Amino acid sequence: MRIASLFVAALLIAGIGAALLMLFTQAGGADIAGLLRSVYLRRVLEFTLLQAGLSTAISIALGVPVARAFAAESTFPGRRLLLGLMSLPIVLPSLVAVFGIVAIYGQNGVLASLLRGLGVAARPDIYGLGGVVLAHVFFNLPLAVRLLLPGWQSIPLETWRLAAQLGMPGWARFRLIEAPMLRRYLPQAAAAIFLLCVGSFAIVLALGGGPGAATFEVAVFEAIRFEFDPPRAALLALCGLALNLACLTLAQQAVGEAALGTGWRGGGQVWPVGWSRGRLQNGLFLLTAALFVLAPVVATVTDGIAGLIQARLNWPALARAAGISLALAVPAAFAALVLALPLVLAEAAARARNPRRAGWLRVISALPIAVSPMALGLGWFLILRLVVEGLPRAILGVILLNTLMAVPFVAAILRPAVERAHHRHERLCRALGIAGWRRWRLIDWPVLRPGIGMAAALAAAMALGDLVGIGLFGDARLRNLTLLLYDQLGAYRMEGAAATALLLLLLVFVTYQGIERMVGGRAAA
Amino acid sequence: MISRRWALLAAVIATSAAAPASADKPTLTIYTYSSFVSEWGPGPALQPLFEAQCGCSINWVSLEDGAALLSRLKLEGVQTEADIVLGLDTNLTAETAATGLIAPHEADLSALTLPIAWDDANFVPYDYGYFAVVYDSQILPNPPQSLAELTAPGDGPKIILMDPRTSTPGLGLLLWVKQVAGDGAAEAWTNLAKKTLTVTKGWSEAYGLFLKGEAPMVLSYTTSPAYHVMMESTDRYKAAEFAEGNYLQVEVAARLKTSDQPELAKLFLAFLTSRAAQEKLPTTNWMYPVIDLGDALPQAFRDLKVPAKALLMPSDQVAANRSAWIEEWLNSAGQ
Repeated sequence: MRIASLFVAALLIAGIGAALLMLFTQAGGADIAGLLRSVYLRRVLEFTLLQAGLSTAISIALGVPVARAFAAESTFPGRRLLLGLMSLPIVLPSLVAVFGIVAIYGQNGVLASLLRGLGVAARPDIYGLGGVVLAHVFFNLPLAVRLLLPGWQSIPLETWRLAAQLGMPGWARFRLIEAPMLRRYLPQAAAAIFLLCVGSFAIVLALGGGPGAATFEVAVFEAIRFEFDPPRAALLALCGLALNLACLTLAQQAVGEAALGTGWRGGGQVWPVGWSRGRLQNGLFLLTAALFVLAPVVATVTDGIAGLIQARLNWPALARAAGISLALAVPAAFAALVLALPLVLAEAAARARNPRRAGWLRVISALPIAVSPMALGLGWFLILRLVVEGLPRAILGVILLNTLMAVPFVAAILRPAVERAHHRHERLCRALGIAGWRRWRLIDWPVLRPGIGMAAALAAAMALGDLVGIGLFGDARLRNLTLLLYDQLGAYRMEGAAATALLLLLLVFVTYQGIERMVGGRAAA
Repeated sequence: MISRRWALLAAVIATSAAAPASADKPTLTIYTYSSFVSEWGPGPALQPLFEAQCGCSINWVSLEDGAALLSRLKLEGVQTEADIVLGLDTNLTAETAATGLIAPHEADLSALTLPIAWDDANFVPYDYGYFAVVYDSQILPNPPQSLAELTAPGDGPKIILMDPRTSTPGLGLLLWVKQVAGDGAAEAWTNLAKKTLTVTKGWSEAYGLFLKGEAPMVLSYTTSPAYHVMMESTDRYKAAEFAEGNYLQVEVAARLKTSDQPELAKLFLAFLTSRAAQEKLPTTNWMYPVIDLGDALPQAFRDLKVPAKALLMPSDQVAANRSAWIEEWLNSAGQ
């Protein structure tokens, strides 16, 4: 596993480095001094830090109680469905999400008409920092829940039982059991969310209210599209990368070393509370989060149903686009899995003996979302055109880009399960001399299967919403559902676009559930 | 069971990506923007017409927008596979010609009825439109009458704009304001920023937000209302008439020096301005045709008010000043 992980790590670094290097070899005058002096860039940096910091803080502050509630209420009916539905924003194409958010919180949204109905003069005004943060929390609260939930599930049942037997009060339970766990899980989740907010682009522009609200990605886009100055784009991408690396390193430093439990089963099947106030609280958190996250999703669905009724849809074209979306997303998801798994396995193995190496592996697995997707994509376009052309290049390029972008998420989802499995079985396997394929088949795979299923499902769902790759490697024969949606919007077909958005949502949901069950088996989620 | 599922998946992948292989016919590769070849765009309507005429097949390569076309050409240089590039606009022609990749069109353009004289030897115009402030007449019965009024100090109804760094209409407005306000452009932008709801990445987001009722005005085209009249039978959305005139956008095509199908490429450029092709453009691209179609121009287009004056800056002036003007916009609107 060590060799495989080093290979993958080298591959990821080379994949990113080669892309940026390729940009530097192109013609263009990257005026480094001028760029760094630019007042506008400083403003972009300030705004980026502000919006990403706020978005991360709020997502995490809300994510902790919601994840805790999900962990505690492990048996209520519809839990799995709710968890699945609440994951939808993670994979929603940004434009669909913007329309969904606006339908609820916009000037003419549900909230505004509610206020009007109540006779309140105030109208919501989301455009500006508020809107950007709102949208980012909408996207990232579910991600925070997804990334933190395994933390609670990693606490063995015996620990809770012991706490109950000792009559530990709530705050002591939190301080002694949950806080150390959070120190392990929070920094990673926060870093991932921060990185996503730093890289956010269309949402920041759509809801930002003006050019004062921008991110590095806008500058990268401008450098590539209008200035056609790839070295400048690469330089800007490096600025963003430096910021993101600083954030990842900070998170790395902040990770505490909580003792991993050795209990048989985590997840608090019998959460030892029995306090009604706690249950009420949990219910309240779940309800609020579900309302916040699902309202825009429901708006998208109702718009979509109206669109399905009104618009004349070309079903063969839709089916074809859906097929292409799937055909591009599924291989990318499994490729990301193949890349991320060795990294995470090696990280778990190195954790005890060589924490530094484990830390490096963790940072490397997050690298692809630390780099501007536009710069990465263009770099790879330049590389691939040296070797392949036409449709194969487009297919390869899109899959490659989506694979790279999915690796960090796959790794983040796999990590807790892998660490737990390693912790539980490592000594036993050594003692019994079970290794290699036999160990994988007999010991690791059955335990890791649910996590692998979830990771592959998430990666596929994210790749289904891809637009960067398909836009960059464009081939008229390769039109996925997201592109179809944008084409409809670009051709005034708002109803048709709403219907397509609904179909995309359904495709994402079905794919997610399908892969999670197919790969993850019955025990998934 | 599992293997059957995988087989199914493999089948889906194989069939969806399979491309129709063409026989021995020559191929004309055309780079264009995505919406041109979408189901609703001109591409599917023009393709059979031209293929019947040329005995060739068209290979469309679709990119995001006009600016993406230029950057792709710069990227590929002489190695480009493109025979034709279609979908640049007049703001990009000088820069495109400067790549040295474009060959003279050699087409007869005497039938053109553009609002401006056309003497470019490289680029063939195929449709045009005017940027305009489109408003919802049910919410805003009295829209601004001029760009000066829109950019005057004080409060006013909100407008949704596009970023000139990422969108063609966004750049259009930047040039429009510059041409009308000149040295007062910075002040105009500061004033307009107070009436701006938001500045989106592209036209689609902005227009979508507008139709959702987020703001009563949006930056679009004078021809946008024709879509709503023809396809939705409503005259609710109208284009404001501005006293100073409207900024013009002319969409053009050109052939490449490196093309191995120069004759086919010339044939296609001539076809673009032919009556058969031009008749397809108004209701697919929602822009004006470049020749006089007479009664064949849909009524909804004939009912549109033609702007008082067509404004357009020379392409080389745009190329030379764009960065500085964008900087000016950032500093005055970005506070």
